[in-house]
Amino acid sequence: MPHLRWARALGASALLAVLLASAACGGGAQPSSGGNSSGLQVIKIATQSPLSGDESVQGIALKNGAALKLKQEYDQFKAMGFDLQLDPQDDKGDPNTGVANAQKLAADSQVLAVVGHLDSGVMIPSEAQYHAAQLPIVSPANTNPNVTSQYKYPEISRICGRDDVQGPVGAIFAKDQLGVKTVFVIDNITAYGTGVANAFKQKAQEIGLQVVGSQSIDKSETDYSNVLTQIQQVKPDLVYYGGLYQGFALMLNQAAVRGIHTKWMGPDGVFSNGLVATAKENAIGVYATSVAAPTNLTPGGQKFIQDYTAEYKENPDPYAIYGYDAMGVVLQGLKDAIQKNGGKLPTRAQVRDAIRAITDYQGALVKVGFDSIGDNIYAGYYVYQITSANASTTGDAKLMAQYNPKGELVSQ
Amino acid sequence: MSSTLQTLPQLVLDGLVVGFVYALIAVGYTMVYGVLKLINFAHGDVFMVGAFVGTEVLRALTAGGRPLSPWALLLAAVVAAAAVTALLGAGIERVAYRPLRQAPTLILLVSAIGVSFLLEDLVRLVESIHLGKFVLPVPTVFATVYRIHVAGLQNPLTIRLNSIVVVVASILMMVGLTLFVGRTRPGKAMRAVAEDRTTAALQGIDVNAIIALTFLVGSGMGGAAGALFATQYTLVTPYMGFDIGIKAFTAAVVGGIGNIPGAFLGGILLGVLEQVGGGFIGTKFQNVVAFAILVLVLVLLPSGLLGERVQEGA
Repeated sequence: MPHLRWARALGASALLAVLLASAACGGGAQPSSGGNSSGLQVIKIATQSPLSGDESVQGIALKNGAALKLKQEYDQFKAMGFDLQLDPQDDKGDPNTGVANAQKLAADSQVLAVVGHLDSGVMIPSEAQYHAAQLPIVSPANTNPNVTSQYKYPEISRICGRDDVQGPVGAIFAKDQLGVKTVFVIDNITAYGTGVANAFKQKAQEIGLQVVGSQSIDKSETDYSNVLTQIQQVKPDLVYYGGLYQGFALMLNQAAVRGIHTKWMGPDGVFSNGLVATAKENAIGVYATSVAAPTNLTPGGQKFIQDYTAEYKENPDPYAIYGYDAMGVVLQGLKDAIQKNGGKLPTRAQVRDAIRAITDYQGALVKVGFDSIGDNIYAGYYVYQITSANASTTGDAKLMAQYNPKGELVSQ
Repeated sequence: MSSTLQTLPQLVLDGLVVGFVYALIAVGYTMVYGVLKLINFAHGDVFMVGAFVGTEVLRALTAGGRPLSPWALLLAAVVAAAAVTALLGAGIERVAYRPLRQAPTLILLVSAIGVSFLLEDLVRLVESIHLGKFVLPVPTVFATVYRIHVAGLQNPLTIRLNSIVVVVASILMMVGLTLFVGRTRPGKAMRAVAEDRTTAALQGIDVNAIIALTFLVGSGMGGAAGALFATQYTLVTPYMGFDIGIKAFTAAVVGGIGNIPGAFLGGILLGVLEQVGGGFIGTKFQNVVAFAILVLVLVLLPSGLLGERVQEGA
């Protein structure tokens, strides 16, 4: 009998080992990990985003966008004597994991910069780690004001706009373009969702919209009947959901069952292919504010769509191009730092300063120039409406209005 | 105040539906506790596996149009989910619990937590390989919605046909289980094992077989609950079992752990309290309100609503 037991334990652990090995292989696709037999110096650029869990549609899109840019510039860096590698980390949309990953990256001296974090709630607690290690990070998507305004670390920059403009833009649009009088505000109890919902609510009250109710509901909740019953009772003209697409999609589906007819709006976190995939025709008519210009309207964006589709065999999620351009900014800073250092491997501090010194980088979609706290002075704000249930193109979203960095209407 | 009262009937109704799901899961906790004095923390994840099996069956059957009636779809999903999870539950018992049966209960608990993580990541891995994603939307089964106008209420009460089906299916399973445990020979043996394992063995009862049967039935009901839940809330994730598992476990404790009707009562109570508390005090305090009341219940009735005083094995 004891033999049998041992054999079983052995078998189980062998099975486990196989599973772990296959999981590890599936995790990171690196063209040439480790060895640099050709005498190239390794530079690693990390990404930090949720590759698993509820937010992985957006997180993987960010990573894929960044990976594509890195691949395209690989040869340039090779010519300079460097072997550029991607080091993708999975922050799971979880603050603890984000901080642990940041510590790991800080300890790896080959990592010179990071593209990352999808969630402001993960970015903010991780910032101290990047600062301590002088490791620069460029955020493609963190819109919470505190990301740059709280600590003002020189390592932290972002290429997207801020929620204290994005939220108000939603309120202004709702009043001026939609003629809404009453609003109901919901948030998903995260730094991002609560922040943007509060910014929306505050502006709404300022400009004379009536906030007829507000509720918070955990982002992992699947049953929205409680808050929907309240919405049904007060009948607002518009419901604003500060959060990510998953919760919003479920709420839309359950609202449709209830027969609730109202206008819906959310911030950039809900503006994803994932929303349309889950909510289908219930997503039609939804308004979303975004910090992303329409990808398909610029020549750079069209080229990006082509390249991305060729590489990954799917249409890019709206976040993908932000990962691409954030990586572009990082690599531009890296190039500048290498040049300044006489072609030799720069230090993290040099890369950090070179990134922050960027004033007019033209990405595929965004123009980037950093102010003193790392906000992008060219960040614009956009309002979209989803017009179809086609998930591969984010419901053929239609641009409804465009606002400048101060939140003033530019065009309709 | 009157506006909150206006919403009360709808809140109670929604609470009942989710309460019946909690109840089905709570039964699994309580049955296993009854025979093994083990809190089977993997049970929430068995429920999750059931939700995924049900979802996959529905996806497969609706892939090329809808040749089947919704009733056949639901039956197929629930039966498949129950069958897979019943075997899974029995398998977990055989591999993760039986070898540790003589060990202290804490060791078993650790083993259960391990199984729980294993199931989550296994489902994640399998679905990632199979579909490239592991958060799945669930095809709609019953699209019908009833709106009932009640005098004095501004809004009609909304009831989905799906909710009614969930409740009726839960009641049927519950009645079936009660009859099984109360009236059949294996059910009698199960009660004997729960009461005193050694004496039951001396009476010629195959204790191992009965424990396996307990897992088979309890897990199968949990899995069926998973499939029902999936049709009701339209999205499944590998991590959905944790929160619901904790709630169902609480329901089992409040009802009196080891007591099957108690588990059912506890589940329904928790579901309703959650909705009504959320509606009156704020959605974000949904769980706080519900659990505060449940703690109060346990302070007043330490062995739960229907529990007898169970002696902990010293």
